[in-house]
Amino acid sequence: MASRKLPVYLLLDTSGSMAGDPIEAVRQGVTLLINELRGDPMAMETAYLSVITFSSTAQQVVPLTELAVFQEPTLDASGATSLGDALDVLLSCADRELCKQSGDQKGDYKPLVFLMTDGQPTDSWEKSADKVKSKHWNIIACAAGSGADELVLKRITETVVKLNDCSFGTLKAFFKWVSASVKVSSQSVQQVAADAPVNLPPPPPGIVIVP
Amino acid sequence: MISNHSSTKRPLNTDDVEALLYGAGLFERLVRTYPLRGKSWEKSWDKLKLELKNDSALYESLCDHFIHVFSKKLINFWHQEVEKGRLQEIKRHINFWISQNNLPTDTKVALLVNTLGECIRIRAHLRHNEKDVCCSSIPQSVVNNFFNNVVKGWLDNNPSNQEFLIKTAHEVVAGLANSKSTPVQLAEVQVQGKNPNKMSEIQLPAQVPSKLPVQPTPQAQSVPQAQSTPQVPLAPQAQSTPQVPPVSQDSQKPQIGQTSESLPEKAQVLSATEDSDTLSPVFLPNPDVTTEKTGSPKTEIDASGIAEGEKKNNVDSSTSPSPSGNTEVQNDTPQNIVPELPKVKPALLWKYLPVPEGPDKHTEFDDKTKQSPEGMLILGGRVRGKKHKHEGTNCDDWFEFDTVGKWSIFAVADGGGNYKFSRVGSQAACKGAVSYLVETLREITVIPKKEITADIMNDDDIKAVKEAIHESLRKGWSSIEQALQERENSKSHYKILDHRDLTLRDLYSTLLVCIHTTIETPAGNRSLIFASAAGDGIVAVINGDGDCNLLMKPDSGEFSGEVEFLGPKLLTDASLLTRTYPFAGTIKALMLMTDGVADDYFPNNLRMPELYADLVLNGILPTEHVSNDIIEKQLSETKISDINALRELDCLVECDRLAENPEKVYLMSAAKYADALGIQISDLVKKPGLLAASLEISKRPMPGVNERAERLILWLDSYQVKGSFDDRTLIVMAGDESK
Repeated sequence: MASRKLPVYLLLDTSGSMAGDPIEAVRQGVTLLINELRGDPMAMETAYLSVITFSSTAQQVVPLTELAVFQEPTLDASGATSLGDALDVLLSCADRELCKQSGDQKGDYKPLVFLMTDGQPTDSWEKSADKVKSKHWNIIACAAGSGADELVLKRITETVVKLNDCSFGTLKAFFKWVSASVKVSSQSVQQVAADAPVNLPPPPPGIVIVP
Repeated sequence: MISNHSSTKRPLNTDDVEALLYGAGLFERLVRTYPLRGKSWEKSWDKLKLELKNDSALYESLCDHFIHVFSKKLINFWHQEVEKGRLQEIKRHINFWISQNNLPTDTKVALLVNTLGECIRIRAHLRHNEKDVCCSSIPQSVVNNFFNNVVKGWLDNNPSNQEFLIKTAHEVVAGLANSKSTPVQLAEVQVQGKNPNKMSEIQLPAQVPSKLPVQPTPQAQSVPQAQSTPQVPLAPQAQSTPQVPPVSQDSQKPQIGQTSESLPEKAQVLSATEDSDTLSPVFLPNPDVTTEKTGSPKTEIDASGIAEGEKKNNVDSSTSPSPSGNTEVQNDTPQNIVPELPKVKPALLWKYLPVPEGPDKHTEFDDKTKQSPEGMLILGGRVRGKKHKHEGTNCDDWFEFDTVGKWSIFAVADGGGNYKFSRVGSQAACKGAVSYLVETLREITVIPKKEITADIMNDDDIKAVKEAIHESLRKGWSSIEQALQERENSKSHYKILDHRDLTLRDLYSTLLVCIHTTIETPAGNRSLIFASAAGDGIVAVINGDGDCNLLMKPDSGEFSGEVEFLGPKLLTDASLLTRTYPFAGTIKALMLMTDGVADDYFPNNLRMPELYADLVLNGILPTEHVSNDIIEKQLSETKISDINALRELDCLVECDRLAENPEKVYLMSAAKYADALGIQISDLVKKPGLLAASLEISKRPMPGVNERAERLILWLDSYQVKGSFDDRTLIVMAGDESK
């Protein structure tokens, strides 16, 4: 009997603007995230991770996978920023991979989604954004650098953070924060009050929560 | 890992760990971008130094750790080269290292020693015809050739290198001999800081003793420590990179002997003069081996986690045949020589911390036994969940039960996990509800009914009972409010809450209340049960036929994880009506539990019978009285019709009990038993002869634990379900009503 999962989706912008150091930093960020989480028994037992990348199109590069066997994807940056496509992929993956509550069956825990982008969407994204927002999942959107539009992200989720730049240090700090958030979520996963907001640890310097 | 620098005294902090992981990633990029073979490797080294210079904070912390990855990379690469007989390439590398003027001599030497030591080890293995995955493909002639031309040549030409090599080799031997306890203990001592768990995650796999050969040679002593001189970008502290011999435990001994044998005699004499007391091994045993010996939890996990990463990296890293470095920081075992990927055992990550001292301390566990007015057994138990043990916090669950007149009254509660004093709330709620019901039900007797129909719910006596159970939830809430008042202005609470006053929210808890009585009908006695709940947890009845009835409404919403707590919102008449469920009929068992147990048996409607079967099989609940004829008949309908075959069954599962002194506990599993019989678990409960037959099985669960309550606690505290780390609380009432 499989236990309930805490699904964690990473939506990563791999458009051309991320090429070079930023994409490398993101890749290392994912590594850092995995290593951090692998040391936490509660995350190890509940958190499942998936990576969805988006550039000219979006694809799920790692299906929802147990942490213990998660293999980091290769990330290459090129192309446009199909945010709408990414959100559609997220919705269809969640639909496929998650066990929903029905009747007497308890479902998986509410998904935790981290979305990171450094630019403006290049496709039509509004409808998908509304659809995702209506799910009331725990979504943390991250506007990396000055090119990203926080207002776009606000349409997807109330929780938007801004990274001042896409430097190694900042992105590293972001992923560190992501891992702390996943840990907190996996610890309190069973006992979150219905009316409590998503429980995030305070972000480190360089990451600003957009009000 | 801990370096051999003068800064050794400084324990790793969180930033170091971060930097370490970051550095490993950076390095991996480097080796992916630049092939290790050929001259571009040297260029890449320089480029790396430049990159690191840009970030001085990172550079600082990386100095200690970064080279660890690097020398390991080299070792792996050299392995490949040795295998292919490309000795020139290695010679060139060695010369390159030696010519690096900005590196301290001890660093250079240590790097070489680590690497050459590995070659010596290989040779030792080959001499003994040991099966060693890492070198099985290398012809002995190649190794000999390498040893004679490269190792010896290097030694002969440089007396100080020789001296250091020999000395280190001795330490290796000593280290292997002592390795069973030393490395882990030393590494543990170093663990400090805000997040010890995370530190040790990094430190332990490397198995590095804190005391490393800091001053290997007289020459080296005079060399300034590289990390304190910003001009020197990186000090490859290879001593701090133990090349973990990937040997099985069996093969260690011959290796030790052989390693020292293969050293030149002159050198052995030299080393005898060294003060070896201050030194610790450089080469350390395979982490897996050590883990076995010491029970150190972290090592194996990391080994496995990394192994997984390696698999993939080997595939997509075309330039580097060796495992890539992004996760290597945590592990020294060259992955290409790990024969089998170890299984991830999250169980080993768990720590045990006792219940902390402080206000409102709850006990680690609690149990209670009583007889119901009908003579049924009532058993209650609560254990602290793994999360609380891991974090050193209190159990948030509570349970109470009592009997009065013909009534049995039960309550379980689960304090909100995010609130530091929710245990106060769960305790107050249970006590308030139960004491209210004891007083109220004392006055209420349910009169005999002609038959059990929905209509009886409108009888006056039953209505009064429903009123009482509703009111008991309200009493539970007012008791929480009262508990808050009692702690008003409490300084100790104020302090623990980081200097703020206790609020009602800190005491949030769920509450499940259930009452049971027996009513007489012409058809016989029947159980009458009411259950009412605020928040999650389960009340389940296994009825006389062995079917499950949930006296609950399952969670609402698309996904789980949102819990309602007891509070005014849930206590309106309308709300209480929707939360109260009756049951009337015959029962085998009535079970009340917090979600810590309920979640381990979901979907609850299907799996509550399994919970009941597990309790019976583990001797927590009595088996029903069944005649031998029935036992034989029911058994004959299964795969195991022969009583001897039944006795030989092994239906135990091994569990790790997380405690101050962790222990293995063997529990009987209904799933395994049903499987052996070739039947559904639900049939186990429907055919009591099969549960009774289990007493014949000779392999017994929890041997030596006699009291039922004690067995319940041990079972609650030990059974393992992935992702289950909540407090577990269970009250169960069972037994034969007619007796």
